[in-house]
Amino acid sequence: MSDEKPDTTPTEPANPAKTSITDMLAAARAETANLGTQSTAKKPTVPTKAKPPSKGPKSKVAPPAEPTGWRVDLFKVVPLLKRLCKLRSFQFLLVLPNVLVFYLFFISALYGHPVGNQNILIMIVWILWWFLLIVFLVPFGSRIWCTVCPLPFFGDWIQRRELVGVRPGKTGAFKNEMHGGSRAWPKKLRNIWLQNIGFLAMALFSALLVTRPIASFVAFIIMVGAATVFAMIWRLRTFCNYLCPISGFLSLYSMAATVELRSESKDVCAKCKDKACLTGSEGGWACPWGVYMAKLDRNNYCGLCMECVKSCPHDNISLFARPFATDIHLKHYDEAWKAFIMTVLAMVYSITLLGPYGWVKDLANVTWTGNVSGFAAYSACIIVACLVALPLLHLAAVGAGRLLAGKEKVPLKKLFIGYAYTLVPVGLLAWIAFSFPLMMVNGSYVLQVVSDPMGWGWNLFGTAEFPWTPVLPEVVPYIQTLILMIGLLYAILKGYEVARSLYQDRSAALRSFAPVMVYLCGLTCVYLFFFTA
Amino acid sequence: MFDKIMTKLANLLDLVVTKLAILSVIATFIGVPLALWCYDWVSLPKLEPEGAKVFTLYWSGTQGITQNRINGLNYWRTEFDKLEKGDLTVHQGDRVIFRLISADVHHGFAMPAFGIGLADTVFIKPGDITRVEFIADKVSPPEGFRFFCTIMCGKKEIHDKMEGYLTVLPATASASVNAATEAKVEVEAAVAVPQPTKLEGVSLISSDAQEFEFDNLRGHVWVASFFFTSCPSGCLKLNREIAKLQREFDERDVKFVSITCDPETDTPEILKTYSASFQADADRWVFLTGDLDKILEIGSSSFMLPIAPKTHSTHLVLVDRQGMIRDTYAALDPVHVARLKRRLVEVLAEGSEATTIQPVMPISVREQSIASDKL
Repeated sequence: MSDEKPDTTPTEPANPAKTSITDMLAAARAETANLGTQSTAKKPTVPTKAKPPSKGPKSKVAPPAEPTGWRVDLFKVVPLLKRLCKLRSFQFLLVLPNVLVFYLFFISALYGHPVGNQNILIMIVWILWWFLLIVFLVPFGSRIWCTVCPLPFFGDWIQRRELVGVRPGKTGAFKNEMHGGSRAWPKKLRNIWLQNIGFLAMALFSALLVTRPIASFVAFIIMVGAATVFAMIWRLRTFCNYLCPISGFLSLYSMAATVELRSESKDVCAKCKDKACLTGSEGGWACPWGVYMAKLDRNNYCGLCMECVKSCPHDNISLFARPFATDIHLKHYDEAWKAFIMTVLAMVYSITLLGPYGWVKDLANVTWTGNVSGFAAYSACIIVACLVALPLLHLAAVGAGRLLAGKEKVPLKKLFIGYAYTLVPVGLLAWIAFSFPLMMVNGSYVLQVVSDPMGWGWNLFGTAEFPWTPVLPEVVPYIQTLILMIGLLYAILKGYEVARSLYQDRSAALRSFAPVMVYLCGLTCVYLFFFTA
Repeated sequence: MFDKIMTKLANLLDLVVTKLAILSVIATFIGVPLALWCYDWVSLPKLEPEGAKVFTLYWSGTQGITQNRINGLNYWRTEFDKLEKGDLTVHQGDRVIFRLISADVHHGFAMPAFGIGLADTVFIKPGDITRVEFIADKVSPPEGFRFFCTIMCGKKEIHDKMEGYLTVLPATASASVNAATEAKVEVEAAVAVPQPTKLEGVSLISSDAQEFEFDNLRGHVWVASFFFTSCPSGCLKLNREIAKLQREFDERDVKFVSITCDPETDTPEILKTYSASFQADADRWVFLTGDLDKILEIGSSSFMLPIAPKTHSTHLVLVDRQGMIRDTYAALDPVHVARLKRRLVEVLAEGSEATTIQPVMPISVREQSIASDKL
């Protein structure tokens, strides 16, 4: 099952994860050439009134809906923000402190305390960073972590031979001087399946990663090494786009984020002959993520590096605030499976790391117990749940909905992928629900390791002896319940929007969505059971 | 005008950062380890008093005691240099400082010759440096003064060997050998392995707000455990296991004693409500609160479990009719719970007569780090 789809249709938004830069550039230029003969503005897609179902075997499916709701141009509201983003040194100034901190973490993992809760790598990355990422950065900053991520630092440096500046020139279709192999990533692999597998593989070893600093070190050093090697062979951020496990989950949940980087006017983009956002210019590098701003309609594959803000000759790129969960369309199987995997893993993490099930911890903690067969069974259960069980449940709900919808037939694949989006708000809020107790119960360890980053008995800020102090642990189940309910609410609201974009008839949309809604409620109940167990 | 100034400032910033970029990256990669090294190797040791004999000892539940620094990188090594007799040598009158570091779980330190760790448990917590300071005011026997772990920290075969010896030589060469012999005689009585203190004449407060005497349990087989009501996970599971045991041994003479380690929160009223949620039979399952210090003392001295405010082991302690601890079992491990049930049947069959069984130290259960449990 391949999701690779060369995208050459100008009206279909491009997915940079699927399309080569040459294809996108050709499509973009064709669009510019056709300007004047056809409008680039999209038509409203959500029908304003119900129409009778088509008599044919399959009705024509409405194209994806335009984002609705309010948008605030943050560059206009806060001009300083735009000035900062236009600085060539903007990203470097953010990444360098992060490089320093991660370097300290790596040293601590090797030479610091071997116990997880006394090691700064474990405590900051898996407690504080994870909490901030999932609770604040992703919902309110989209992929802003990718802006400051230190993992591709060396890869970018090798590829650009610049830490701050930009090199005009010509490298293939790009108008920048780039180094390294600059090869195109194989078409068959232009999807996020590898990211899905990577995240799932990391999750299987979660108990090890969060208790043994050396294990986390190995995981991170592999990522840094891979990002660097990939940058030397393939062009742009190939590692980030196709392999990084963290990128995969950020990609999925950034759809719900309340900010987006978009062009201010699609018409300006359409008339633009340079396509500098895609190819680079004297002011900025070609988009490392391969995004063409005229077609960007989802946050998934925009790493917020702000190069397009600098390279756009028309000053047409801006950062917008928007309502929660505005991007509501998954487009391919790999994205749907990402949603399944993340949904199951939110539950698995809660059970394994925070749950009262000692025997599960023992199964997961294979390096301590040496119970390889138990770990194999644990892994098999997770893999089957992620890749088979939940997708089958989803398929059953979607199939039932399709039958209930009546005569208006929408392809099962479209329904399957479309409704998988409902797992984005459910999953994101489940991860938030998981992260709250993580921080509330274990947050005091962060104070300890900040004063004693190596676990060598230091007390830099006088907090090394701070006792383990769970914050209101008795309130945790109530907070989790509230968060999960908000997730369910958004899933139902947005799921219905998806249904309306798939079905022309309101009643058919509702009937189609009903079984999915039931299964979402069931899923939330399962979350509630395990989270509050 | 403002725009022009801002633009110039931005350009200037870009220029400066561009010029300094490579330098700052190099500075980062050299500066971070250098700063760590300087602080740890140059500054920190100066904090110890001048002239003191400082020994840094790493305690590991899988390796024993070693002077090798155990860190993330070498933790997986199978063998560290074990502490041998004669490794730690000082002279009479020296000021001795032990810097004790746990590489994994909670350990306890005792050195009977100097009265350390007998009345109060000296905890060696992961991540902390436990400093033990004393004057070596007497000459040791030839093998040295023994110190050892007082908490069941891991596998019994390793815990039993978690010991070391401090050799204290005479202050001057002319000091008599007799001093060593005298010291040996003086110390011999004290170096016995510490045994759990019997709960005689000890009482706490029950959920009925009545004084509960542990002496009343004499003649009964009972299972003790520690918990606190606001615990979000482990304690619930622990008490569910006890509730199951209560049901399974409904007709047998087994009592259950659950002691809170958060008495400030867990008043008798709260315990009453909490116990009802587990259908606790008040005649067979008591929930106790009381003075925190007393509870900590009971935990460490009588049950030899690492107990601290809102922090506790999730083990069940089996006590026989004579008040002897027979074994401990991980409540969250089904294998251990099954083992406990079998042992309960055996102990119940022993009858009420005094047995000749010696109190045994808790078995080779893997005492997970309390801290690690929270992850």
